[in-house]
Amino acid sequence: MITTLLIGILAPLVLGPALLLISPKLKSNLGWLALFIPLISILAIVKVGLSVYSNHVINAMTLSMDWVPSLGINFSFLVDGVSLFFGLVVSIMGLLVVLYSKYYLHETVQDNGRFYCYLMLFMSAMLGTVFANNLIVLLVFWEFTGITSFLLIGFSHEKKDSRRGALMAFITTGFTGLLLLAGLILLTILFETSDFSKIVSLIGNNSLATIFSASQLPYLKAAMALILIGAFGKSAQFPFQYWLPNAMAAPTPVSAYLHSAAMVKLGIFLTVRMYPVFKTLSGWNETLLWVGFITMTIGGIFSFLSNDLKGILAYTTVSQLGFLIGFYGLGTLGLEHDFFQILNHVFYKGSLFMVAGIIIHSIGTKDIRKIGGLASVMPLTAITATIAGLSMAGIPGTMGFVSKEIMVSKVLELVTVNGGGIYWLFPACLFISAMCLIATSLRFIYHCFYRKIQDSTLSIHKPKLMFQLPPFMLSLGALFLGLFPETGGHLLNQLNSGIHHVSPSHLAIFHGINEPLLFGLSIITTGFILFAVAQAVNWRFTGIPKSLLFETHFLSLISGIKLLGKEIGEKLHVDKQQNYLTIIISFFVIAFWYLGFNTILSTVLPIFNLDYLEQDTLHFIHLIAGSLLAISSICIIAARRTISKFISLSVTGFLVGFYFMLYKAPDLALTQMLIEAAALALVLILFSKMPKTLNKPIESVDYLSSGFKLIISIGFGAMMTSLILVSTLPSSFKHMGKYFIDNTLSLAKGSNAVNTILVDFRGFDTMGEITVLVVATLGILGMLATKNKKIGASDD
Amino acid sequence: MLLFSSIIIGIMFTVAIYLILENRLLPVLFGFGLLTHAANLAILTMSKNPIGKVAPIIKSGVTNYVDPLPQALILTAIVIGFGVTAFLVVLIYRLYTASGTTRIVTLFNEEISTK
Amino acid sequence: MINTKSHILESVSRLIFLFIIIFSIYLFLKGHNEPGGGFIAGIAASIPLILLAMSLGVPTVQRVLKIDSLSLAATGLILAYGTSFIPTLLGYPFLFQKMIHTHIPILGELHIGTPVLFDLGVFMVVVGVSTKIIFSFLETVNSKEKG
Repeated sequence: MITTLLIGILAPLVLGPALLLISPKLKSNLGWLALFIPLISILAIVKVGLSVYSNHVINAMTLSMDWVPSLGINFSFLVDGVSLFFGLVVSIMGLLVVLYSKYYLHETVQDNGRFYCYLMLFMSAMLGTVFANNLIVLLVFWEFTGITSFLLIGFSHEKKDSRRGALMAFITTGFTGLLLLAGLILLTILFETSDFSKIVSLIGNNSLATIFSASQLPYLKAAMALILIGAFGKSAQFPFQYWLPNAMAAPTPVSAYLHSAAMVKLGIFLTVRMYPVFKTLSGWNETLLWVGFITMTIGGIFSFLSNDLKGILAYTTVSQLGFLIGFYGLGTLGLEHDFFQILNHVFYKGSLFMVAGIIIHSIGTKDIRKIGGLASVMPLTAITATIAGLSMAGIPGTMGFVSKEIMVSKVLELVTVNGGGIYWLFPACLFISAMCLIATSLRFIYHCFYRKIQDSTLSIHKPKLMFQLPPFMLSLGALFLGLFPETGGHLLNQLNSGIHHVSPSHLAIFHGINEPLLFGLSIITTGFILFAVAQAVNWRFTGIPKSLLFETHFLSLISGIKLLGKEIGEKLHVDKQQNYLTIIISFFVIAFWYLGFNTILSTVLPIFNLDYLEQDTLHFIHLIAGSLLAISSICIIAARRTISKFISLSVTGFLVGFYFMLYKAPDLALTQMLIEAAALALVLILFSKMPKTLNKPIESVDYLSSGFKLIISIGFGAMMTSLILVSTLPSSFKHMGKYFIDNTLSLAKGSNAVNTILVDFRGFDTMGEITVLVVATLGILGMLATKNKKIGASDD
Repeated sequence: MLLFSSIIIGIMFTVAIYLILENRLLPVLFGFGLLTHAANLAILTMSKNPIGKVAPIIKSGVTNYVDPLPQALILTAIVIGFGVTAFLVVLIYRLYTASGTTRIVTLFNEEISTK
Repeated sequence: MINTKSHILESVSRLIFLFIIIFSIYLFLKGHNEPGGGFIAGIAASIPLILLAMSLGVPTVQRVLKIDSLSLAATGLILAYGTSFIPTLLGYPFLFQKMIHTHIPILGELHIGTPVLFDLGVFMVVVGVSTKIIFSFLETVNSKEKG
């Protein structure tokens, strides 16, 4: 079964790039071929779904494959109601979007191979995310959706808006994705497993407070907060709602896919997934409620104030996503019919986005103030838009009405349970946003299709029938579920999994006259009144105040970060090597002596007893060699001319070779002498180019600063001396050297232990080392090959 | 021998750091070379006092060898040190031919003024 | 610097070159049991080459050498990596090494194994890298002098 599932998830990933390869041959017919890819995924998911479905119940199943077993990360997938629902939504919507794109791209986009490729990669990432069981696998796919959506939003990369929107979406979702990573890792550490299904079975029916001690609860809360931020970022919840309207710079099929069915639903998906984990943690419901309802209200009001066709839809999406998130916050009172609401949104919003695409495609503008009278040109689309728009408004007889009624009854229940007070804010928010959505929907339908033509200069061309078909199909879905909520609800209840209410309440168009119905009807009435009033003043108030657009804050934050970096760089003088090197080294030395002075004093001073000095034998030859070494190194400073300094250094190098010999290291002595000769040759070649500087005495020195330098250097030297003394103290640790001495003959068949360590015992280190040598050579060759330019001219 | 060596190595580190803090490129190069030597010797002291021991080349009947591990580490460090020195030398050469000076202050002032 | 095309000089340098190679091979082969080995032999081989290049000019030495230093280094790197990775393909651990012991009449006991190949790779990298750096540096400096 795992193969079937993997085929479903990975087919788009593999076949998408293949489309790119054959696109030059097929040109615009590529769309037909691309249709098969989502079809493969759908079939695979259906097959997997049927295999776990029996007796009207889905038995959750995990499928796994080893990936990084040492870290406990497996390619583990979970097939349950949630993943099947989202998987089917993503793949079926993918099919419709490909069909729609075929006509949309026909005239507008040249390189459609690239487009389908990105779309398929995105679909694969989405499917991987929803089916993932292992949290790390989930995150990998999650981030992959972020990357592919970046490519899709920025598809028309020659436009500044596209680039800006793509970057904004990417930075926001990428940043929140990082927090999500932290949250998931925290969760993994707390539960000691990264498999979601294991976490859920660990929790069982217990409350988290009983499983974890009080000291662990703050970590759980942190994990919850981080995961929720990840979800909110992806689903454009407050305060991240700014990226979604900006991402509308994408081609319309992308908006229809990413911003109705797929990416923005990922946040919802994550909330659903994590629901059984966190539902008993205090703060979970409250956070979801507040964030959801604030987002819902903001989105509703902003959609009412927008003039851009896609901007309107974007803000209604924001509002609707807030609605869904908030709905999960009501979960204490029973989680039911959530899939119904999500499906509702997928149907009407996908349809409306596609309608917007058709309108923009045929009339060439997306300013709703200039559009009008399209019903006569495209009657089918007018019908589609009417059905979908009314569903968005929640007019009786549509799915939107049913879903809103559920929400209203839940919110009213919440108010009664909690005894009113601040909880009245929630119905108020619902009222305001629903009212705005109704007015916006009516405006969308009326202005685009049924009022008379506004701008006669715009030429309208009639869209093809097939182009209009996918949105129509989606709106039919909305209509069907609206008219027969019982059947639809029953169908979706088959997909219920552990997180859902055992016996969901009955869905119907008409429950009899009760509070939710009256509330709903009053919303509709005020919505119509609002529309009429706005119509009377000719929508002159529209346009969102700039200070309320979070994107301006976002952009100033980004440029602020850049400025801060520049400021810090200038303040630290990173361009003056001797300054910052002095700062770093003196900090190091001061910190060492400040923190370690007492320790050094208590460990090093006791060394100077007679016993130690007696054992620490010293031959005359060592004394001579060491003194020469010290003298020659001091000569490097004392010498006035550069060439004398260099000669002193060379002498020091050869003396070091001699000192190696005294330390019974013949290999080292040999290497040191030879290398010294090679280095000598190298520096001599350099000197042949700069004869003037060699004999010139170094100019008069600033005594204050050289005194300071001397103090730092002596501090550093003393630090190294004491470190050596401390580290060579007798200790209980076993020396590794003995192992090599004992085994060099028997294991490595060589009597030179140094050489056997290099090529045998620690061959891996040597391999790294010779790689470094080759890399350094390539760097040198690169420097020598570059043309002689004035410094600084290479930038910009 | 240990105490003596550690003092010598301390002096070498002192000189190396002093040279690295100079504001001309050639002393910095020399300081870097000396730093490599000093660091190598510092690692070598980990094999304790070598007097009375023999080189780590196994012969029958001998047991008191010096520790071979620091030697192996240093052997690679010497060769890497050569690679780094070569890199620095060529870098200085490039800077010198491009700007005609090895004074760091002048170099960077020039860079700032060209920007 | 001298840069003449003298046949005598070239033949002499070829002769010197032969001795260098023999000496470094000696250092290389005894490395497992005596001071020596890939690193030391590599530098020992490259120092005379560097000196020759400084006196005779890089083109002369390169004519004698026949192969490009960088490709020598690259070959060495591939050899070292190969001896490390090939065992993993055969199911042995990474860097697994195998020894062969034979008795050769005149030379005596011979232990030869994959560590020798690895060391050979190190040798080639060291020779290639050190000569390439200095040769190309010399050439750049000389061409700057002329131009």
